[in-house]
Order: sequence, then structure tokens, then C-alpha cells
Amino acid sequence: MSSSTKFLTLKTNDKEEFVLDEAIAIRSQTIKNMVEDDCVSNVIPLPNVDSKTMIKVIEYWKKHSEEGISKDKLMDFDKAFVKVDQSILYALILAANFLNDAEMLDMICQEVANRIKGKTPEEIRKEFNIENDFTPEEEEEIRNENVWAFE
Amino acid sequence: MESGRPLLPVAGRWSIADLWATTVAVLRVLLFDADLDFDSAISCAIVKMMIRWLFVLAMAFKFFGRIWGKCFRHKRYRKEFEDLPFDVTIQILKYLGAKQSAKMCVINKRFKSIVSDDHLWMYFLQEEDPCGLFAESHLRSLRTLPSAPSLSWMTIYGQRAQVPRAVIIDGGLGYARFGWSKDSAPSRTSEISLALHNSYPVFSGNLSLL
Repeated sequence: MSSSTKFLTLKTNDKEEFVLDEAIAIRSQTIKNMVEDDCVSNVIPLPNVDSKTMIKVIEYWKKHSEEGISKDKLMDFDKAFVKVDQSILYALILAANFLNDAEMLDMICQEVANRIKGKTPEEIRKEFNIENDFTPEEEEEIRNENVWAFE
Repeated sequence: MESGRPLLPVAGRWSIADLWATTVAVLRVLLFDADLDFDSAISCAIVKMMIRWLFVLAMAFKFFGRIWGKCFRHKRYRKEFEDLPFDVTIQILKYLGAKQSAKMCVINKRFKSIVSDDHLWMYFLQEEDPCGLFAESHLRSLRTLPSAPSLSWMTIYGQRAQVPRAVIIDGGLGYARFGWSKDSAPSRTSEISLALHNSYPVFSGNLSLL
């Protein structure tokens, strides 16, 4: 790390401010671009992220920026990190997508995929609170079109 | 508090309203520097009664507010799967793999339109068989079968998934064909042409290419 540590202030949509080491904050490609383009005054507004989510994101960034942390430890951390309620998981995805942190986004997408895997469509609808807007006939037709997937 | 005013119910049992009234009074003194002079015009009893009613009203509002929120504003506050942007959903589908992705079609209309995305299936095809995508995209037009309809990439993937992979070599004409066949090991010419007809020729070219 450079001798003069620069700090950035991130302001979430509920007006919370987070002061963060620039080296950590530029894990977000969005913030990095802002810093590189020199369009950062002193506060970076993050209109798509709320403070609750930002706390989680910063927790992740800090852990992943720790020096000399072992891979196993990071894996354990990641596993525990994604063990949250679904709506928090989606908020994290939206935040990671906005902040453009591919590593984090991939990890959470993988987790959502894991939650879907091996479930029947009915179970998925129930688990993810999704309404079925097909008529039984329509659904049957789609099943017939894709028989190979339901074998 | 200092003067020992009759704010606290000294005798008798403490009800929740008493506790609430006391807490509110204490908070008022602490936070707003209010001067609670109960010996003056407003008697302690009236204040307590008012506070009790306020408390009841507050609880009622809170209770009905919660029901109201659950019934009508539930979705606005909770993030749902369907709030996720298109490219993120595609990313999740990629992790799911082809078969489970195809199953997601029946979830609802929105998922059907996302899952039917051509790029997703081109990705799956490429993953499974690097030649497959090239063959389907470049050689499909060379197919001699009449009336080949233009198919979506999902259908193409589905068709390929349904037939086991087999190499068909037609040596008699001096060039080889390589493709998907329903017969696991066709050996004679008649069978080859039958196999080719039923199957899905995806590549044709000189023997040297094989």
C-alpha cells in the first residue's frame, strides 16, 4: 500500500456515510473508474445501495483485501457470507452489479444457482415467491417443447 | 425526578401503561428538558390517561400498519428474484447448466422470455462442444434437407441433447460426414443414409478435415 493512504467517503441512498480506504474501495470497478477519471470530489454518492447492504459489501471487501489470508479461510468466509435471507442476497446482487464487482457478483450468482439446483419448478416458485402466470395448458405445452429437460 | 413527584405508581401493581407512561415521562425530561410540574394546573392523572390512550392508539396504528404493509406494500420493500436485472439472471442460468435452465421456462412468462435468449444457448452449445456452435452457425445454411426452418438456439440445443453423439462416415462418395445420429454405430451405406436422414448432420467436408 502506498505511504499516503487516501480515504474515500461513500454515501448510500439513505444518507449514511462510510469512510473507506481507497485501496479497498476500488475493488468496485465503478468507484475505480470514478477515481481514475478524477470526478470524485469528496463524497461518492451510491444512489442504488442502502446502508445495510453497504455494510455487508464493505465487510466482504475488507476480508478479501486482508494481507496473507489463506484461501481456505476466504472460502469459509464466503460460505458464511452468502448464508443470508433471500431478499438480502438480491440486494447484494444489485449492489455488486451497480458497483461492478465481478468477483462478488459471480459468487452470489453461484449461490442463487445452488439454491435453485435440483428443485422442481413448483418448489422453485414457492421458494422464490414467484407467481405462475401460465394456464395449465400453456405449461403443458412448454413442457412438451422441452421434453429433454424434464426426462 | 428529584422532587419525588407522584409520577411513579408507588402502591398497587404496575401495568404496562404505567411503565410506558413513566418511560415517556423520563425520556421527556432527559431528551427535551421538559419541565414536568404535576402539581400545577394539569394533574398527573390526566396526563397519565392521555399517555395511556396515546399508547393504545400507537399500538393500534402499529398493528394495522403492519397488516396494511403485508397486504399491499410487501413487494415494494422486499427485493425479489424478479427484481434482478436481465444479465444477472443470465449469469445465474449459466451457473445452473442447460438442463435446469430449460426447466426454468415453465416458472413464468418472464422467465420463459429470459431463458429463450439465443446467446445463453449459444454459450451452452459452445461449452458442451466447441465445434457444435461453429457447425450450427456456419454449416446450417449448407444443409441440403429441404425446408429447414430457422430454429431458436434453445431448440437446436434441445434437438442435439436428444440424440446420442455418433460419428457417421460416408466413405463411398469420397467425403465424410460427421454428425449426430440416432444409431449408435451405423455401418453400412443404407443405414448411413437412413441415419443421416433421421439425424442431424452438422458438419460435412473433405476427409482431410477429419
